Amino acid sequence: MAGLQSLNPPKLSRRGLLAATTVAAMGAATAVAQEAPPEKVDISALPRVKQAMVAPPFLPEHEQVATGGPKIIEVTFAIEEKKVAIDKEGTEIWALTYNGSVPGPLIVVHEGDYVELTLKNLPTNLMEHNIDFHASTGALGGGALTKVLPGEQAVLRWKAVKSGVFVYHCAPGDIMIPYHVVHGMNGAVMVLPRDGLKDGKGKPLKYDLAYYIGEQDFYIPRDEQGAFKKYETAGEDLSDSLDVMRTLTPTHVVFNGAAGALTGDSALKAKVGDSVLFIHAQANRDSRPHLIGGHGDYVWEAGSFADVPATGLETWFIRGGSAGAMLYKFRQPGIYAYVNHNLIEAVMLGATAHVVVDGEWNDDLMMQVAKPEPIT
Amino acid sequence: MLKSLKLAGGVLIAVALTATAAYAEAVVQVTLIDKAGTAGLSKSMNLGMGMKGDMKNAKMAVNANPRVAPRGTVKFNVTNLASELVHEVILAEVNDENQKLAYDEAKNIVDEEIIQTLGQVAEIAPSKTASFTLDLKPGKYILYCNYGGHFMAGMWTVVEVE
Repeated sequence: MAGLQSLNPPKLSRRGLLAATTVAAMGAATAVAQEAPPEKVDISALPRVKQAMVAPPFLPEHEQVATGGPKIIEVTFAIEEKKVAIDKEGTEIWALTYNGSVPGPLIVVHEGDYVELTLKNLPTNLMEHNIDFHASTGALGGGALTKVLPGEQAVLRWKAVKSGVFVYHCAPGDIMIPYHVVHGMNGAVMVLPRDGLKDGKGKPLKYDLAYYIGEQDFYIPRDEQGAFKKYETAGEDLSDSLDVMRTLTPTHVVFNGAAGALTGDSALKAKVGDSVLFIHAQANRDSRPHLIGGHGDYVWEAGSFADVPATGLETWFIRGGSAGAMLYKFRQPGIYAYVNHNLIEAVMLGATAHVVVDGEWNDDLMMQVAKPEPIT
Repeated sequence: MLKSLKLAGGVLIAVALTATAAYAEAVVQVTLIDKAGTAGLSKSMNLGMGMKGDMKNAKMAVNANPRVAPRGTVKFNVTNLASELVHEVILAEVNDENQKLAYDEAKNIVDEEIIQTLGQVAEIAPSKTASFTLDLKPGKYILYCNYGGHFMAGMWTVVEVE
């Protein structure tokens, strides 16, 4: 905004309040302008740290509060086109993936750090790919600098100047952009403030556990009999998929690549008293997470850690093309369902995860006063 | 669908063709693969059909599924998965995968005056799909792109009609 304001000289006839706003905006613009002459950062002098990527819903090893100054965080993504099952009925998609998972792995850094990504497009792949980091600045989020054909690799370094959780995704151009994104080619980055998360009143917020949930809408073509079609190679479904995508009606809305990927044996786990950070990314389509039986104690709904988190929410909103974060301290044991509270999508299309929480039941918070019995 | 057609006798096929034309048509999905981008292909890569080149090195390819279709009407749905380059697909009858095609070295293309084209889609833009339908008798057919150098870069495959 500051940038836009500075392009339009303030009108002198405006009233005091507006003028004051404009002056403030101009002030911000000036401040930005003063930052602009880049401080000569000696990149070669910065410490380098390799961050080993782990598959969702887990996070790579990281500090909540940064020790020391900015670092270069080195990560590697291998792009892999692979056939995966997306529900218990065996419906398949030739997923386009970063490191073989849907969503791609979460990268965790601190504000002021640099992400240095080596992006490898495996020679066995059939298509060109790239990556657009919403957390980065310039060149279409890096998309313009990372186009790699099968058998090629590129290295991109970007500075994490905004704290929060942000989506990344493939954006090779034209209709391939939505096609790649709804074939699983997206993920998220978490940029923590150097001094960690805060409640908006200066109180530090720590998490005991963190889980990363990537919500994915799939658009699987059907044959004349209505059965989901299968394909022999990646990309063969392009034309059919585009027809389904045009309806804007997904056939599947799932967490972490498949219906049931985070339930049963793969359910998330916690203990009563644990503060758990949930990172929820949706690269394409709106969602509305809800923890059945709990709340969002602190919610960075739009994803920016520079904003004061909302508190005590029942349901929060994740805009398509963004990630959000929620912190909740579990107070009761049992199985919680973490859902997209469009319940059709949660129950019929797949957007349900379970959190199994161990601990002591608290009668004060809830108790069954009388079991179900015939009406007296 | 392919299976039932294969099992049916000739008379039955004829009936099926008239009764439900849409069902009688075999469909082959064809994808055009391009791992070379705009890299120069002026020098032949010697990965054309019958040249016994190591196709693992191919920077361009044609994929077809299924590779075997029943005789009769065959529809080829062609998708260009390349990000930059326009391609084409030409279908011609061949003896088998070992046949060496007449080649115009100067133009770096297959000689289409000798290798007769039976069907084709010309100029498919990146990410676009086009199709062509042919009545094919049993035999082997090559699907290839004849833009300069593409055939020799590996951009061909063979399908069989039973």
